Amino acid sequence: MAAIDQAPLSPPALRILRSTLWAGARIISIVLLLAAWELVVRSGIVTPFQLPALGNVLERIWNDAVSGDLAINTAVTLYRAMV
Amino acid sequence: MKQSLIRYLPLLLLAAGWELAARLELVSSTALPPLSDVIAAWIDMIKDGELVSNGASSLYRAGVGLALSVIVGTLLGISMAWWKPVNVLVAPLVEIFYPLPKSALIPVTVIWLGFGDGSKILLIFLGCMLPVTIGAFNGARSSEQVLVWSARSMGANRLRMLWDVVLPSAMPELLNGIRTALSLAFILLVSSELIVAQKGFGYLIGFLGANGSYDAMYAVVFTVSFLGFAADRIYQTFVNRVLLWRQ
Repeated sequence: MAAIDQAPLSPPALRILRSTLWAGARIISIVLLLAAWELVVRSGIVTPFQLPALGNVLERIWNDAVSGDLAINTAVTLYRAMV
Repeated sequence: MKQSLIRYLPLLLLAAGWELAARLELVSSTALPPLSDVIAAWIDMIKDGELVSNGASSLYRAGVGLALSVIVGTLLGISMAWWKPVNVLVAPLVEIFYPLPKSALIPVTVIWLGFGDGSKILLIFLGCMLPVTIGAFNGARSSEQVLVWSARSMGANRLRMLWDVVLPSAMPELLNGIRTALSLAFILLVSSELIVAQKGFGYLIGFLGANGSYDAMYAVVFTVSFLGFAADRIYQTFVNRVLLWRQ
């Protein structure tokens, strides 16, 4: 009975570590998905037309953001959705 | 009889108003052909089999996509609620993909699977799976802890608890998720067929609209609306029967 009453609580450091690990695990699936995307493209299973490389997609987003195209189209879409 | 008449009176008034507005040329007949012309066009399309063959293609795509989404979504949602590692791995993906407008994936599915049934089925599957997953997850998570403990104290193993306690508790939320998926299936079906298809309701709407057969186009739109409404009513009847034990 005494042993149960005095059951050791997990130390705060361990609890913090555990919650950090769970939080870190939450981004694993996203990292895995992105890695799988890059792997599939590099392996040549699919053509760039079917699935362009992640790097190319990010580059395109960056270019559109710099040129202002992304902002204009986002604004138009948001305006339509809101109105 | 009188009650049904009162219930459907707004629809009858709308139909009469439509016919009058079109006949009196208050609106252009291109924008709104008379209702009687739409009905006549619908009968013609039924007689020549055009509506039935295109409807069969559409219903096949919607049926297969929806069935796959219900099976996979239910398994995924309950697994997420039951096993924490599955939840940790899958929940971020669900959260990211849920707000994505699934119609944005139409070009992607066509590039992957071509112009046939596959691309439409994949789109409907992807679009309908998430509401089902979330419904199953929320339902399974909300199962009463007392019941779980009781089952455990009576010696039920994990699989037995899942089947006898968690699944029945998840049923109302799960069935709600499937209802949302059902309406989404019709939306995604028509959107995808409108853009790229050689058969189906959406294709027919686009084709007839482009050729100026507006009465026939309205007839197809009405058919889709009616099928969506009927599917929802039949599903509601099914849900009421399945959840009879809760009353």
